[in-house]
Amino acid sequence: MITLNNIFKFYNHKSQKAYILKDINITIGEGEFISIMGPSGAGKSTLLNIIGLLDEANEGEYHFFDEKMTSLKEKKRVEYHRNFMGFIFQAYHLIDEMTVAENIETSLVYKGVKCKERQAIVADILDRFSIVGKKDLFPAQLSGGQQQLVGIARAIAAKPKLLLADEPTGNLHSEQGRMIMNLLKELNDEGTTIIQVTHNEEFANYGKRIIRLKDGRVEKESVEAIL
Amino acid sequence: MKKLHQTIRNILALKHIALFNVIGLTIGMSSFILIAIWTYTHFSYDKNFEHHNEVYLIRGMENDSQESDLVVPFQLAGYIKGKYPEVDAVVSYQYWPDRTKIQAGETILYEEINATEQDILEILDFNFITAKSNLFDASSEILICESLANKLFGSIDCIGNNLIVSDSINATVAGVYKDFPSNSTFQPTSVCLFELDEDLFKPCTEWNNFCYYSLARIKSNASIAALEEKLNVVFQNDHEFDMTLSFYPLDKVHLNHPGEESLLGHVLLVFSSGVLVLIVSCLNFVNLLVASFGRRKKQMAVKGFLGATRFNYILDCWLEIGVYVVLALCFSILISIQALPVISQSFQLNPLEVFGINWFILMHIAIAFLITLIVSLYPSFYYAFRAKQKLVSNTNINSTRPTIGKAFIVFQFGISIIICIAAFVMQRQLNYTSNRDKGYNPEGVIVAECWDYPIQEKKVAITEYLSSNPHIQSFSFTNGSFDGLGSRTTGFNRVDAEANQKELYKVMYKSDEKLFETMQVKMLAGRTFIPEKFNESKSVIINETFASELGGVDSALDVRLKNFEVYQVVGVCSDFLFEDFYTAVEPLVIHYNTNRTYHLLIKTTVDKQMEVQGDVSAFLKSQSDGPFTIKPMSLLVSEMYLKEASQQQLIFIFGLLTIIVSCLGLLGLTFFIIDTKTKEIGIRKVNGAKVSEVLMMLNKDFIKWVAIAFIIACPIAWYAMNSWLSNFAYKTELSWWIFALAGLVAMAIALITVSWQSWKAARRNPVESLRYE
Repeated sequence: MITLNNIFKFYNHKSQKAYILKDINITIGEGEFISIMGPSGAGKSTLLNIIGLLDEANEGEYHFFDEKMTSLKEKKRVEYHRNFMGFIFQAYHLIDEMTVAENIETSLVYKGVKCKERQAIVADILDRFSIVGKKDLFPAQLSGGQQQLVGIARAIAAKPKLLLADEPTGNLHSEQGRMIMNLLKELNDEGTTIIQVTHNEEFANYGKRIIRLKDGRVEKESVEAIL
Repeated sequence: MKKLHQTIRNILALKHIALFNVIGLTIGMSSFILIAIWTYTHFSYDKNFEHHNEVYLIRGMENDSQESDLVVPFQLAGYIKGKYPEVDAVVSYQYWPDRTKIQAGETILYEEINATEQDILEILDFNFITAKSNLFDASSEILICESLANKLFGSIDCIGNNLIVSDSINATVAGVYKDFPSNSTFQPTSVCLFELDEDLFKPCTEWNNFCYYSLARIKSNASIAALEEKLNVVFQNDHEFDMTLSFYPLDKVHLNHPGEESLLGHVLLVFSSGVLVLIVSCLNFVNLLVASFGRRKKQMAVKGFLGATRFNYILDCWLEIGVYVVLALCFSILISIQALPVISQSFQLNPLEVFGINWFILMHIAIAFLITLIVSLYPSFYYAFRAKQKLVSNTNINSTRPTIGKAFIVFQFGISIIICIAAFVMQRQLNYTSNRDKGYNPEGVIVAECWDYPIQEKKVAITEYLSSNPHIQSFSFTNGSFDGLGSRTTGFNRVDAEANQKELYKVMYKSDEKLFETMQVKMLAGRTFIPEKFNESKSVIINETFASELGGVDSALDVRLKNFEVYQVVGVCSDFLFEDFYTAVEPLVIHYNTNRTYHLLIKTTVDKQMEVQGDVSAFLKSQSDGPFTIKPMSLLVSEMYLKEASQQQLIFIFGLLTIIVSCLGLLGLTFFIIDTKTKEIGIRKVNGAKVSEVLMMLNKDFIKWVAIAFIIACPIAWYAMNSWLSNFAYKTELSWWIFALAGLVAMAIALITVSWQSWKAARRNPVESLRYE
């Protein structure tokens, strides 16, 4: 599903290149659950952003379903965002001015789903995550765990093939974190490919495969037993 | 619907910014619409009837003085009539009709009767409600307007009724027409033929009497230039006049009356200041809108990875602008409908009569639409050509400082400062005109204008009454008051002048001997009129300007002047102002005359002025029911500058509005800037900065930008006001302190506005602002 060949990412800093990613080669198949780990500044988030088309590599090739993703037109990129990818963030990134239901609905609006259908999907998801009672609340009125739940609900509303999670549990205490991770695992079992970035060894082990980054290079790749 | 709901919620997220936006837009929209309507009404003068472009007034221009006027001799119309096939109709029309006594049964009114010729019906647009056939087939017929009919007879159903004009002339109502709209140059209340009474309506019919308008209707396909050329060749053959005739379109008269100060400049000046208010409020709106985007960057970024395109952003933005404009539109319609009556009252113009309420609202909507388009431009570009917001995934997205805002501050405050300076200078000029030494003393002087009052018949009684009043120091019968004297139609020359020397037209003023005492005009040489001692019927007193033309004050004393008769100069008085400040004092001849004096100047003790005015008014009323007006001299003087005063007031109001809008903008901008600096303030305070230091840090930027605005505004304002002042013959100077004052005011307002917010920010507990970092 995803092939990364010789990916380099650097910033020009006073005529010196500061490398974030160096020669990354990764292949990810459909239905995988990948955890990316590594110390701060290792380039985890940058890698995730490149995969999620939020950032672009300076060198190397990136194929998504056998299509070349480098130097993509904006219109095309938006298409991928709408139809294939969902995002979850540490800071949740819900729209403060929208209610829970509206937040979840937004990605469907951009995808062009009809109003009736949208409402049905949102109702389903609210029901599944047991947050029906919160649907008219604003993000500020929710706890961190609940906000992240909404974040995931929004990410999967459009039924993406790929779910990208950047430290989804970083702002949560371990109980909430575990709940979120179980949810991700469940989604993975249903067939969604998931790539998550995490600092937490325990949560990393929810993934079927762990990629460890250090100083911009893949240090170690290991297939872990599922806990 | 849902989208709209979300947009409104987005707007309400920053309630005070939303409020500023709506207020600013409403101010801009309503002041622009009002001023646009006012301007349109001025431009619509005489354009409301079908064949308005075929109607001309005949203009005469003196070849040597290049002075032109629309008032021409009576015989001119008759001279042109029938000579040229292009001219469909040409009539004489009374220039300055008297208010004549009209009697219908018990009702007595003094109204202006416009005497003219039958063909006027072809020229002006009479809209008859009821009329007999073959109007004006008898010379006793009179046409009256609807409102006069109602006043005289209580209904418009009065065809065939009799009127008694001026006590003895019988007239029959032949038609009733709708009142002329207020945007007409000619608004006759009643029309009759000259033949109704030749003595009353045709007092001066010689070729050298300029007392009438000549109105003509010329075929629309005729070449005016060719016609003028034909006419002038023949005319100058037939007559000795050294005068060029031309046809002046009626629809130009209102804005550009030949021989008068053009109204066009005044209208455009006021209009452009209205436009400035609109521009400033639009800019303000755009500025705050874009600044608020900065705060919404997170929302944008999130929408970005959820699949929003630039077009989605632009659509959101349009929707938001639309909501604002619709809100402002509603308020603006409400406000301006309230303000319209005020406008029609203070400008004697009724825009609603020209427009109708539907057009008014339609135009309003059109303007709102236009504003939406203009305002949308910048935010649309902002999104279309800007790199898509990158979402740095795990840190909070901080809005960056709005940079474009500074340019707006400079622009808005620049305009505010210019308008401020303009208002200051205008105020000073007006004060200057009313306080300057006029060469006479207007204090305690009251003026009774009695053109249509039988003042000559009652002169003895009036004199007796005025002499007996202890509060009256002196009084004088003259033929004009000092807000515009006499006629310029009389040429004087020295008796010993050579025959071919050009006559110089001097202002001719008629008065009795007490003028100089009443108005406290100083004599420089010779004597005043002393009718008890001399036969003064051929005596004149001239002013200093004329005397110096004749070779100095002393040598002027023995000069004898001639026009139709020979006059002896007996005295020279000092110059005094008898016109507005646009014109310098002209040579003046004061002729001793007690028969053709229609004004009564009364000098009272200052503190009893109003009391005396009431008494005299009551006395005049008791003597005759003829119309007169009585006013303090100071009021007459200020009335001369009504146009300037209203201009100054409007510009002052617009200046104030611009400043208010600018302040709203500044307030909003400060909010955003402080919002982005919260962290910096917190860190500085944690590290020991005092409140005053934080205040300084926040304010110094604004001071800098307002200062730049001031530097840019000054030369523009200086240039503009200099050219405005150059219209006046007597003017105040542009002192540096006016500029300094305007700059200080702007700076103070800006500082107060900014400090209101920055004070709050600077005093906030740093722990609060750093908590989430």
